[in-house]
Amino acid sequence: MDYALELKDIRKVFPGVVANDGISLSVRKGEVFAIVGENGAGKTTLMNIIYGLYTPDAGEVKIFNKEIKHNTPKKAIEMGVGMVHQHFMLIPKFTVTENIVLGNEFVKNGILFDKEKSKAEVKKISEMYGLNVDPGELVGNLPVGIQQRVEILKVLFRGAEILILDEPTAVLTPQETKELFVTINALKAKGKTVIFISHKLKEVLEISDRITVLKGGKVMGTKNKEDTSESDLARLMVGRDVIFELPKVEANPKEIILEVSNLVIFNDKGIPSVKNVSFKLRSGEILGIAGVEGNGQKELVEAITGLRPIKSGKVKIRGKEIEKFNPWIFRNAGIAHIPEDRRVMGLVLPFTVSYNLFLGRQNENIFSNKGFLNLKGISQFADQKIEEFDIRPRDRNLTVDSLSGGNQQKVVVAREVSYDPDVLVASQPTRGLDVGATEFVQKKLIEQRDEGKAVLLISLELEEIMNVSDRIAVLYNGEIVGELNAKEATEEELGLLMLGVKDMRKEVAK
Amino acid sequence: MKKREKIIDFLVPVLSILLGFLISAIMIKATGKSPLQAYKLLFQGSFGKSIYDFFTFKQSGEALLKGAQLTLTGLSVAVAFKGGLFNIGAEGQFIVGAIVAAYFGFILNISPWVNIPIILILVMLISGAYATIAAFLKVKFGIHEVIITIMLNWIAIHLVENWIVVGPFSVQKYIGSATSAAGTPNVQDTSRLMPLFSGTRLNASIFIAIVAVVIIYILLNRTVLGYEIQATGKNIKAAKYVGINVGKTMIVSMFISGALAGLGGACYVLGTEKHFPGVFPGGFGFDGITMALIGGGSPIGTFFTSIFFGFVRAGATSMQLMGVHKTFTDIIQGIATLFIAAQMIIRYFLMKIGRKEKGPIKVMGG
Repeated sequence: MDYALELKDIRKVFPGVVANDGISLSVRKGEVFAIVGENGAGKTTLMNIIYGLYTPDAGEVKIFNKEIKHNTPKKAIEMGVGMVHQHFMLIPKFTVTENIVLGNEFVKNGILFDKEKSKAEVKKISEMYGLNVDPGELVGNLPVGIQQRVEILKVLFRGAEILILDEPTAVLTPQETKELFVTINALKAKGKTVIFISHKLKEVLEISDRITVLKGGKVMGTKNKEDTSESDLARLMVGRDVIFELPKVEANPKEIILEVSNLVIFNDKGIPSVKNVSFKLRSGEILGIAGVEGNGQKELVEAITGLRPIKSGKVKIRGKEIEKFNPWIFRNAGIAHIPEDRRVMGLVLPFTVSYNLFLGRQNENIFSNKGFLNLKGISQFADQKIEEFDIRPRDRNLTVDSLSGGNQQKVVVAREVSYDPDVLVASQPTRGLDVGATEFVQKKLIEQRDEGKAVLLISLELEEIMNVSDRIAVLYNGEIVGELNAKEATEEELGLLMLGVKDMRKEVAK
Repeated sequence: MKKREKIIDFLVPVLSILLGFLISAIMIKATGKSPLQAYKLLFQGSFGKSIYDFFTFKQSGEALLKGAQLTLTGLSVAVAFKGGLFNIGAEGQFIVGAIVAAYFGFILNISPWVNIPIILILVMLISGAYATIAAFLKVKFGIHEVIITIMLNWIAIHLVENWIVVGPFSVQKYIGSATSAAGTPNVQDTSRLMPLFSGTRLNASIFIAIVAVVIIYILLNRTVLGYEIQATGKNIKAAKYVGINVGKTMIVSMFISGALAGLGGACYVLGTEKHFPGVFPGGFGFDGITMALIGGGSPIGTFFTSIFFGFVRAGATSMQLMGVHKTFTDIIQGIATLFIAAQMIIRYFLMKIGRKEKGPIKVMGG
């Protein structure tokens, strides 16, 4: 058998953590090989070892049957390994061509940059793999999906035979993901080997030939696509059965808590991005807002949490209109908010877990007394929440930036739920989380509903919207184009509404 | 792992200072003089030639005095840092504090126990208010505080030095035009911070500095206000999102910052100079930036850095004996700051040393 990459007993230890514990796997030439695992399973460490960023403490790396000692990224590239990072390494003000040839430019007359030849070369490669990109366009003007293609072209330009794609779909819309898969298949058809890292099992099953599951730095198993299933992989990943259907009793909606009427909100550029949106949210129900990114979700969430003023319309909480748009006022009125980006907004990363857990509540009696912090109360509260929300490691004095994404999100959820709000606004609460953490957060949302809170869930993941919500409103181009009962909604119908092909309001009018 | 990072956080400024000394030594050597001899004089000039000298504060008194001065402006910059603001304006706030102290120190004449507290409170209020202009403009109109504080520096310098001190509040106006003295009239004896020991200029400003360090430490780490200041400084978006009034917090931290710089100016006038001199030696505020940077932005770190450089500067005068100019200490300080600013270089080597023994410091997840 021809192997592109072989790893034998790779071991990598960081102080206190065994990141890779005797990992062995072989990737065949010309296959799409997936590596899945929860956050912290050792995927990134392993990739960094293959790419030469880390030196393993023990074990053997073989690329095209040649053992690599003292690997460096330069060596790895020479051997034909290319890495497409999750966060793109592109210069927005450079053209596609300039980005691709950067560092390996064609030169004419000794010193001049040969633009024409570079362009032609880029064009040649992009046509070879069916990657349609305009070589003269500025990268900054391109959508994310196309930028990713530029990254792939960059790697191909450097002669990569093995392409490592690190969580490539994390930033893509469903449509873009489909296009990426076409690309991956094209690469495979040309004999390239693709290593696909992900924790989205559906995608992995769709695109890969074989799948290796990592957990706690160890290989839990390698499966052929045909011989496995989503639940099978999830069990290996998490170490127990994962329920894809969330246990949920019938909703029992009561009085109206949040009422939004004729809301018009401008975005940062002064353009209306929410136009005439109205909805009612009752206690004991979850209203899901579905939609493709950029259809007004961000502005809507910011307005109903007081972070952004509205142009016109009304926001009423328990029948009382709120006139001043200020986060403090909205929090006092009973609205808690799990923001879409925990690292940018939800947390003060250099603060400890315990300091993040009472953020915003520092004037309450448990946390302070006459202006002085009550360190004992803060610690007790933190320990209690860490236990209750299973935040790991169980150390309140760690800074949150040293926690994994899932645990960071648990800190945010723990804090927001502890406000004991009337309304919980959850914006993309499971973005970037692994299976276990996603399940945990979604269960908490349902738990909050069952306790009689009104929950507003804004998500780009259709599956999440359909599983968690009781009612679904679809936002398209700043307007709610349809409202459905979650039980009756189908993926197709929601998709049509999200793309603006269908508008339920017009149908009612007819 | 956490402990390890703490050790590195401590080693970075220490190594930066050592590198400052090392590179300066090469420069001294390049001028044909012996760096060892120069540093020996530097040491003797700051600590004294004997244990006896040290404990009678003959030289070390001067060092502590300079250290106290640096501490106050350093603390000023450090507090602003914690609140996410870069206060380049400590220089101007220092001058405002100095002139306010010179004025009230002159017109008040009750008793030291009344005069000094009143003067210091007035100084803090006025210098604090002066600094607040920058925070206010930032909060209200989004103008960057660096621009405003730089402009406020020049306003203070010219207003005070080129008008007040030579015009309405000049010694000529009060004592008579016959005197050849320059600057403002001397403050009353009841307003002065008197030397603590004979033969040294060391005065109560060292205690003022220590008390300020303790108060600021407690304020930042033990109070709700300090918590809000740090939350705003470390992530203003998060602070806003949880409902902290970030505008108010920024204004308060800038006020405290200005008050501390002003306090430095007051100590200088009431203790060292006795009046606002005709030729004002600038740079106290800018040195504060250096102290806060090397001290890692923490009150305690800033304090020790300031005291250390107090000793270096006090000793520098002695280096002149062998023809090494005393401003050589500025070079040491400057190089140390450079390494702090580019501290990734030092961190990288420290990590590399660590890697050989125990693996990398930063654990990458995934």
